[in-house]
Amino acid sequence: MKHNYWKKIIIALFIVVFLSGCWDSRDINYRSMPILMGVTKDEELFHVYMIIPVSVVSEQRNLAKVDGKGATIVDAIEQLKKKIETTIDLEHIGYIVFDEELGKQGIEKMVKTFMRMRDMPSTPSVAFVKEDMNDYIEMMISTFEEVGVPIFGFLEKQTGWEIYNPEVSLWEVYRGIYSYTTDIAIPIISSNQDLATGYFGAAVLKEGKIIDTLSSMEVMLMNLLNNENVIKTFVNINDTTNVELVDRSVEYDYSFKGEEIDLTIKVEFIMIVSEADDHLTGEDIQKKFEEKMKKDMLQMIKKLQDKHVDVLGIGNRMRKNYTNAELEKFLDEIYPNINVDVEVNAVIENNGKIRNLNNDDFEDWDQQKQD
Amino acid sequence: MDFINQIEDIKQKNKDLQMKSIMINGISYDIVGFESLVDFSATWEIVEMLIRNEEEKSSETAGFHSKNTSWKKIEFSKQIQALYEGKVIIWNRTEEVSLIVDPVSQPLYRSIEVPVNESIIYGAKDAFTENSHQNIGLLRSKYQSKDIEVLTTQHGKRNRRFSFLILKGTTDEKMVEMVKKKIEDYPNEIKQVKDIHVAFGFSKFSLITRISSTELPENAMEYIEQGKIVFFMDGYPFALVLFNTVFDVFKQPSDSNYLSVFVYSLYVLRIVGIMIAMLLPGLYVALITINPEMLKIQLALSITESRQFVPYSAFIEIIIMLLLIELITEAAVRLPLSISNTIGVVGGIILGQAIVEASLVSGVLIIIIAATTIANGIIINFENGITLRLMKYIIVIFSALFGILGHVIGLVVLCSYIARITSFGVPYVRWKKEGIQSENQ
Repeated sequence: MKHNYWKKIIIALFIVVFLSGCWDSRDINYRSMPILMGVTKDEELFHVYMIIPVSVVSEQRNLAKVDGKGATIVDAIEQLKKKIETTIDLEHIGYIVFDEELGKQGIEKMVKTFMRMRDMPSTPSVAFVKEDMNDYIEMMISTFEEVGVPIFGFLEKQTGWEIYNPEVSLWEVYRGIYSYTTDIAIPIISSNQDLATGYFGAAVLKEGKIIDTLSSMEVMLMNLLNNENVIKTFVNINDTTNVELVDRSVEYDYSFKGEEIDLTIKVEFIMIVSEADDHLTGEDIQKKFEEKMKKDMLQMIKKLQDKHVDVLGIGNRMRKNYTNAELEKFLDEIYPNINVDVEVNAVIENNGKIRNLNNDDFEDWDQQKQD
Repeated sequence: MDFINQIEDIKQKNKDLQMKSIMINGISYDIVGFESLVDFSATWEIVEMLIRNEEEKSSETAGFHSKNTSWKKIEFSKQIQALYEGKVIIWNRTEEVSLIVDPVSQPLYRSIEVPVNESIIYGAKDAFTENSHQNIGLLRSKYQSKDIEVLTTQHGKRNRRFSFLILKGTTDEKMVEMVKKKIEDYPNEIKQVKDIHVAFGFSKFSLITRISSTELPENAMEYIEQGKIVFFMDGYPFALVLFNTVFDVFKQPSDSNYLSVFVYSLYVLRIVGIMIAMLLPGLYVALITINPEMLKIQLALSITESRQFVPYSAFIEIIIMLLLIELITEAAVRLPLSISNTIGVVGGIILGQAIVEASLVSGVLIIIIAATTIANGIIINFENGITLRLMKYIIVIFSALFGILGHVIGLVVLCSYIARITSFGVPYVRWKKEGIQSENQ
């Protein structure tokens, strides 16, 4: 009996060891981990670029460019893999950039392929590149080697992200393409001689094709209306006045009146006056800010409604009221006819480190002086 | 003259057996004892006084005599046994009766010293010795009450003494009886603690210490008050504590001499230490070999850099290093104290530095190994530390096979192993602090 027991254990151990296939796994130093993938099309062939960090002990970390061409995305990646001695491990890809031209033709299929691939994460940030892909990659690498800053921080929330650009990851693009009630805006960037990245606003996608672009101001409004973080956001009211947003809350109220849908977006801001004209009181600033916000927001929403795209996810909030068949036509039939109104409420938390003298009432003080 | 002949016979074989004759009041007495066990020059006075007393007493009233020190005919084998226990026999030649006397013994036991293996900062600084009488005395001095009772049994050809301490009302006396009986019934000689494990019917291949040893009377007293069974094996300078539980890995009684807040953070620290000691090597193997995608890219790149010229896979690499550390630890225990420091320097610093420069292992691994080894030392008892030392290999193997998934599987396997361990029906993992109950009852 006891003998049998040991036999079983030994057999189990053998099975565990020999069926695990652990010898197929490769150590981390035999893998290349690309951090960026650039996709463009070259005379009907997909052209995939990758940036791979190359590190040698006691030397500066460098970036290497590799590229491959193929009839499909996967084919191009396979061609690229053939050129490299180590295994390519796509798990660490943090950024995917598409050629803007490709965006105009539609990136639906590519996004679908990426989502399908098992060794590709669904989290990389996505952007369009305005210039030639090769130039872009070269420029990024040379910038990195000269300055040594972490590249592509622009797209990442923890490093260089600002409220003026949309932060979009691959799965959100996929959702934006295939969802009936929401769309997605992807930033358009280019390389630059300096540290800066060229930024040209966001491309609005409808079914994978670029149909419009939003300016950086519009993107900011979009982010404010979506639930993005607003810390350290400065808004210009006019040439001389500037406020810093500290907090905001958004509420979407909708009501049905027969065929008509009324949507009221209530936005509340808490802000700090950071730059102001001498003659303006707090109330003036507040009023001007509210008016400006309301005007800009309504303008942007109108623009989006005209193009039948819903980057704010308005449809998401009311999709429970429709059947699946109705939702299929939601963006084209129902969404453009929604009556949208915006209510803006602003509260000035403080005036920065100095007092706004216009807010003070000097009557008491004057009386005392007379006495 | 049967007795004298037999003594002469034994004396032929044992040169340290002494037999001295003395004439008092015309009666000749023989005093027999082992020179190696008995300090004769000091005992001589006692013996002389005893005999004289006896002479006087026998003419006076009989009644003062305690039973042990009265003259009587005693079986020869019993007398011999008494001799080997370190007693002295006084033989009255004319009446052929004998008296067994407790002599002044040779100083064969060391005195009470500061604990060596379990160092404490605040707490009682006495430690158990090889003499179980002394050990019981240490405990009695800590609990001066009639509630403490001592149960003794002797076992085997060695005639080894086992003393059980019972605290009335707390200790489960039935269980003590049972444990005592298990020791008495064990057919083989009990030489080491391992034999007690076998006598109690515990598995020889257990990863967990069932019977823990403690050097500190303070701890032992605390364990008795918790309801655990504490017993002494003569010649083993530790109290043996039956029912080592999972709490004893984190907690020791002298902790409570600190600030309470500090004590609680100390517990957290120990739990973190246990986690590091058990999981970190496995995590390294899993992340390097099978699941590098779980690392942040920056970390992945710097690890890649440090592993640039390492020829082995992470598993081989870590096994080499772990083996080396085990060797250093064991060598430091074996060697004399003055040399073991050198081993630390040579092994730790020089070898560690050289092995990285020779690209046999990566620099990151050295950090991992150092953290593991240090964290291993935070566990309360050295015996519990051994458990962790063994367990981490299981996790490393599973991690090398299945990556992060295997890491978790290894942990689950170990947890279920620990969870099923019971000794005499008392589970190893038990959250109740006071009182030991068997689940079978």
